[in-house]
Amino acid sequence: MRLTDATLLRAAANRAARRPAYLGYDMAGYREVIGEDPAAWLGIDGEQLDRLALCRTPRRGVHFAHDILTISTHVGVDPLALVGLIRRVEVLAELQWATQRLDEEPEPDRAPAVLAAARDDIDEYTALSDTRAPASGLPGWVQDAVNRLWAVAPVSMQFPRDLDFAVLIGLPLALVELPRLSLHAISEWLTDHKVDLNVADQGDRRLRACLIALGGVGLIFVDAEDDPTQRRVSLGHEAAHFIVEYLLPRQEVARRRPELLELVDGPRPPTAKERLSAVLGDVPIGLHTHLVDHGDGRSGDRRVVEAEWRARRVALELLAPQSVVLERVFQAGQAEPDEVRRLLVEEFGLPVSLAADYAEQLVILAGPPRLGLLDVLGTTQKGSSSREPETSAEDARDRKSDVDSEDE
Amino acid sequence: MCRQADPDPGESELADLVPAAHERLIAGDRVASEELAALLLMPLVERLERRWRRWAHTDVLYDTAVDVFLAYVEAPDRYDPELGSLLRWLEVAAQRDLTNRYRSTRQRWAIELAPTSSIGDPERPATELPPSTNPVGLARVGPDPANAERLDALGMWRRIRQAFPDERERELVWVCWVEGEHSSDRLAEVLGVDHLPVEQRRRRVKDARDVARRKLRRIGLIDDEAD
Repeated sequence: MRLTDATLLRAAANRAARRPAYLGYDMAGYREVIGEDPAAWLGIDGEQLDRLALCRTPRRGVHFAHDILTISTHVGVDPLALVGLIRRVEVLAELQWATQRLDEEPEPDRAPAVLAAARDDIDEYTALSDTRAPASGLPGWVQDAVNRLWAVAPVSMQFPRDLDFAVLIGLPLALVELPRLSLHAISEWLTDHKVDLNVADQGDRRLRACLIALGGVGLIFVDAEDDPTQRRVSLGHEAAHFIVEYLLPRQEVARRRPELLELVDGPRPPTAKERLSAVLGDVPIGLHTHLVDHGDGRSGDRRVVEAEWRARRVALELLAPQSVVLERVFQAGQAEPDEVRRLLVEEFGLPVSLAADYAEQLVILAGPPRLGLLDVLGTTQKGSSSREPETSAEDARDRKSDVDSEDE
Repeated sequence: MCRQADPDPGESELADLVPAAHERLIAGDRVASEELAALLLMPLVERLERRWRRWAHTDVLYDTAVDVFLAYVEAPDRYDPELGSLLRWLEVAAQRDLTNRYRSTRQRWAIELAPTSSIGDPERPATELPPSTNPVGLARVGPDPANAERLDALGMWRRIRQAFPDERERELVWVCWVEGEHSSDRLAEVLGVDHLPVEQRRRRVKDARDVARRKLRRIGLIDDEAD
């Protein structure tokens, strides 16, 4: 039997599947973890799959986007499908492992260390009243969250801004689209993929999107039947939840008290000594929330309302960055709320209700400069401008929470 | 250790494309490995087939070529372009691996016993392969399975081990009288004298073959006409 070029490359691709340095290893992982044919997911033929398998696996981190695009162009694969495949393998393998650990070491009366946040199948809801105060610039936590994504992902200045590629490149997240998304549908999907997390144990309901985070990775579910505008907002919202409520606090634990990291993901509650260590180090070992179980966001649960507010604020910054929108507003001379809202809907692709709230804030920012406290008192500091940087409601809120933390 | 291979067709093309792809591989390019596979694997296999005729068109040879290539991609800086072409470097590495494989008695038996043992079905006609047998596997190096079975039954290997206590001599017997190899280069390689000048090498090979032939006659494994 004599090999042809094609059969020899097939044999090489098969052997590359056993070596983690090759993309073939990720393809084999897809077959094993997901149980499906990677060629079908990628929409390519066997020859393309062999060529893909012989490429080296993309480097994670700052090279990830570049490597994905290079490989995709070379082999003729959709880059979004390729990064989606790689993330699915990574995330599901981690979730399967993490949930097995939870099963092996069950702790009575303790919810699993899972962040689950859902965006219900209703119109936008979030308490924004306290953000309507005059504001300029971004609060530090919003900037941190946005920076976390764009540190690795390529920043697109095309609007409406689709976040799929950026989210998959920049965050350890996989994206799953299900028709008629509901808690029950998500639970079924997780079971089918050997992730033992019953998110529907509190009953079923329709959702626009949902985030499941555990073990440092996350799954975002979106409704496959949503229109592009809703889908865009849903993805930004859940990605924001992941960054703000999970990734950044988890990274903080890893950085400052790595010995406590197992409490973040593991089934074990902290010992008294570990609690003390966390308090002394001011690290958030109690970062897990189970937002799905806490109602629809209007219930008055402060944690849920605040989490929703934060996610919405970051999502807005991802989809329609304040500085970019304000620049457009100034260029067009559109300082009226209706005009700004129309700009947000037509150019940035926001839903009308979300755009209306955001427009009101932006109009205030686009207005004439406001006097600061020092101006009012007439006591400017020596050497400084009489116009101090203006203070946003969010900055004030940040400072208040800092003070609260210190008080605690 | 290996004789210089004749230039392959298209080698000038390789000479242009391969160094550039190697440099990109070193620099972290993710697709250079696929390009190099397309450029190098078949020429590498063809070179190995010319040297290992008995293993030509076998999994052993293909797997060795592929493994050597994949290992190179994982550590490309082990190859020094100053020392010659990448194809030649891979060929030498594959040659070394094949020789090691060949010399490993355990591996040799693992390779050869599978097809030999798999035909021991008295109900099955000799012209038929057993079910689930891979024809590529059966085409691997080794004598005709029927002969091997007969020779096993005769206790051939026990007698050869007694007559040829030196492992290199036993390998010589295998290569000459089982594989039917006549190339003095190959036999010099087996004897570990391939580094010698040509005339000296040929003389050493001839002497070793003559000694081995006499021993085989003495223990009754070949007759006077056989060689």
